Order: sequence, then structure tokens, then C-alpha cells
Amino acid sequence: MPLSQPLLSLIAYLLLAIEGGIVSILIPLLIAPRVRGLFKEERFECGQTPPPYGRRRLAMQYYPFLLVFLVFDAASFILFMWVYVSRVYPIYSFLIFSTLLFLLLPPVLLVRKLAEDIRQWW
Amino acid sequence: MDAQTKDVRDSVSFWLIISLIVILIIGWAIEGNVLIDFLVDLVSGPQVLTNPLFLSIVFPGLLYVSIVAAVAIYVERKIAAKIQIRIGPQYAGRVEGILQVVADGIKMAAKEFVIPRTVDVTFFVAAPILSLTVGMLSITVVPFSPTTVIFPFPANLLLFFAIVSFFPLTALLAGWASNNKFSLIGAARALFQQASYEIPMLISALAPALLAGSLRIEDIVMAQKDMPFLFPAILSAIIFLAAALAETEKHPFEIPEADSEIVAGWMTEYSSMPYALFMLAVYVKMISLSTLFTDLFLSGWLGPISLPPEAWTVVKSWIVLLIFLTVRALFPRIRIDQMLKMGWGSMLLLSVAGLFLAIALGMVVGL
Repeated sequence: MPLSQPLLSLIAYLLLAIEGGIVSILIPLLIAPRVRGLFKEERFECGQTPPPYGRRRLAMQYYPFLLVFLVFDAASFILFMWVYVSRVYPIYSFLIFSTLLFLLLPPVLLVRKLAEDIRQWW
Repeated sequence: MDAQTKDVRDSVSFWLIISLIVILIIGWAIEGNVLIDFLVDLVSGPQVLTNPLFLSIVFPGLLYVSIVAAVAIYVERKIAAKIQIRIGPQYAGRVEGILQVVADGIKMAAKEFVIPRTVDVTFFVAAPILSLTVGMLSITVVPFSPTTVIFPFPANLLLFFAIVSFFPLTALLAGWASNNKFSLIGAARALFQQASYEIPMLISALAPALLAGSLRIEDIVMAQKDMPFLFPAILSAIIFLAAALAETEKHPFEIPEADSEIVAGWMTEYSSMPYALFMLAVYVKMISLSTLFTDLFLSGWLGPISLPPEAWTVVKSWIVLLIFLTVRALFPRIRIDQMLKMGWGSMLLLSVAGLFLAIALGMVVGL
């Protein structure tokens, strides 16, 4: 099946970008000198002896921001429907989507309060 | 004691792999006479500007993005130097260190790519390639003229933001794969920052879409033939610029890779060309966001003087890019709690206020 012109451009572009990335990584692996060192392959710990594990627990106080982001991300994509509805029902769509924005105000106030109090967790 | 290992530069395998890559590229290009069609179009006139290979390889594809990124890196260093009463790059190349970027590229390629033994190798190597690819993908839907777009799409504004949502995931992948506490903290900071500023950016971009009545960027540009949307949507434009700075992790939003706090953030364990790929991806994102800003608020390829439309888009996007580069030298880095407070408080509320202001001013000017 012949590909359409735009799809051909996109595929060519993506393939070249990925290929460029792969070649860029291959070049130093092939041409750069490799000098083995005692601590070179250990994880970086600013001169300290690296502990056996590198992945630590993340601070809990940042978790609500991600939850609120999930809600807002979905809501903002719904807001994009306003663009099409506004041409047909301008007043009606303005009222509906303004109400939606108003309903999103409590999470905004919550995360703003969390951001102000975040230094208490330090 | 360190032991000098034998390098592979004069081994047969190096040349075999290079030859294989070249053969694969030529073979893929020749399949279906794609390369021949491209070469015929190249010598036969201006219709080459709509040739899919030209769009993806030359303009606005890989070649354009790579050259602009290289020039932007040099210009940024020079601007920062002049603001800080320094000279900046001086010695590479005869004139004002103009070949500094080339020298840096060669240096990066000749440095050893150290893969620590504790990392998740697959994702550690894949993360920079993915970061560059996602950055490059963001420019495919941004039009430089009605016909100069790599991937035309009916709702390309929405598609652009869908691609932008992937930006923090590559940082998270790199940070997690590195198995290093500094990398993980940097990756988490990148995620929180880009999540916090994506919503104000989305809502700010909604203002010109509402004024034009379309989610297609080409329609938004054509709706600005009487007046750029910068004037009715001035607040949205400012919020969009600030949010775009945060998305690209440039000063004052350089929290994910705060050098004085967490070494290099999610790029701590990276060296050589993978590190350069991450840097290139950042500048590619800046180029795509500045071009989108040009299309949304500065009337894109429309201009008072009769010039090729692509020229207008490039000139205007460069003006926006210069703003990004100059801001880097003017502001210190903010703290993460300041960033969160600003993103979820003032930026979000101002973006909504800007939206309503744009609607009101749009009604006044008759849009």
C-alpha cells in the first residue's frame, strides 16, 4: 500500500532521528579510548564511597501535585472542545466552560497551600 | 592501578559497522525510487520545498534544527558572556570563537562513554535517543508556512501538546535507569516542574485557538492577518513564554539539573555523546516552542513586506529564541517550592485570567 506524503515525511524524519541518535552513541564507543579505573564504573557519589543502592525514596510531599496534574491534564484537553463549540453556541459554551474552570479552583487552592507549606517537610 | 586497554579505531569491525550503516541508509532511501524522486525534485525547482524527504531532512527537519541548535548554543554563550562582562568563546575559530560548538562536538565524540556497572543498561542507553527523538517529534507538527510542515494534521495544536507531555518521561527514564540518588532527585524535579507548567501553557495556548475558532495552527495564523494575537492575548503570551522556559528547563527554571545541588540532575551519570544528545534535545524543544509561539501570537509567516513565508517564521522564531537565551543570563535559579507555588498559583490563575481577557478583547476588536 503506497504511503501518503505526510506519513512518508514523518517516518523518514523519525527513522533518521533515531538513527542519528544510535550513530551518535556508537561513535564514542568505537573511537574513544577506554581506560579502566578503580572507581570509574561505580555510581557517582561526589567522592564518597557509593552505597549498595542508588534509588532512594522520593519525598512524599510532592505526590499530591502529580495527582492534581492528572486531573488538570484531562480537564484542559476537554477545554479544547470549547474552541469548536464557541463558534456555534458562544454564550452557552462560555458559561459551561467557565463553570468547569471554576470547579477546578478547589484543587488549585489545595496545591497552592501545599506549596506554601512544603518547607515544613524539610 | 589504571590499565590502558587497546582501542578499536584501527580494527576491521569499526569500518564494517560504518559501512553497514551507510548501506542501510542508501538501501532504505533507494527503495521505491524515493531518493531518485528527491534528487529530481532538488534540481527541478521550488516544488522541492514540498518534497517529503526535503521537509524531513533539510527544512524544517533535521538539518535546519541541528544548525539552529548549534548557532543557538554559541549565541547563548556569547550573550551570557557579554551580560556578565566576560568574553565567552574566543579561541576556536579565527573570529570570536565561532567554531566553539564544532570543537565541543568533536570533544564530546572523542570522550569515553562511561556506562556504570550499576545502571540498567538498556534504558540507560535508550534514554538519550528517546529524548532526542521526542524533541525532534515536537517540530514535525509545527508549520513554517501553509505547505512547509513535516506532518500536517487537522488539530496539530492538540497533537503538539500531546507530544510535549512526553518530555518529562524521558528525564524520568534517564534518572531511574542511572540508579543514582542525584539522578533520581533530578528526574523527579523535572517531572514536577514540567507537570506544574504544562497546564498554564495549555490554557495560554487555548486563547489564540479560541480567538481563531480552530485547533489547526495554520488557521490560527491566517486569522491573524489583520492583527497578531499578541495584542488581545498579551497576558496569555507572557504566561506561555514563561511556561515554555520551564518546559525546556532553562534558567530560572534550571531546578532539575541544579549544578550546585544535585551535580547534573538526571544527567549525572551521562558523559560524551549521550550527554550531548540530551543538550541537543533541550535546544530542539526551545526551537519548536519558539516557532509555536510565533505561529500562535506573532502571526507566523504573515508579514508586511513580501518575503517567503518561511523566512518570516524563521526570523520571528529567532527573536523569541533570543528572548529565551537572554533570560538565562539575567535570572538566578529559583527554589523548588518557589517553582511549585508559582506554577500552581500565580501562573495558573494568570493563564485563566489571560484567557478571559483575550476573549473580552477579542470581542472588542471584532475577532
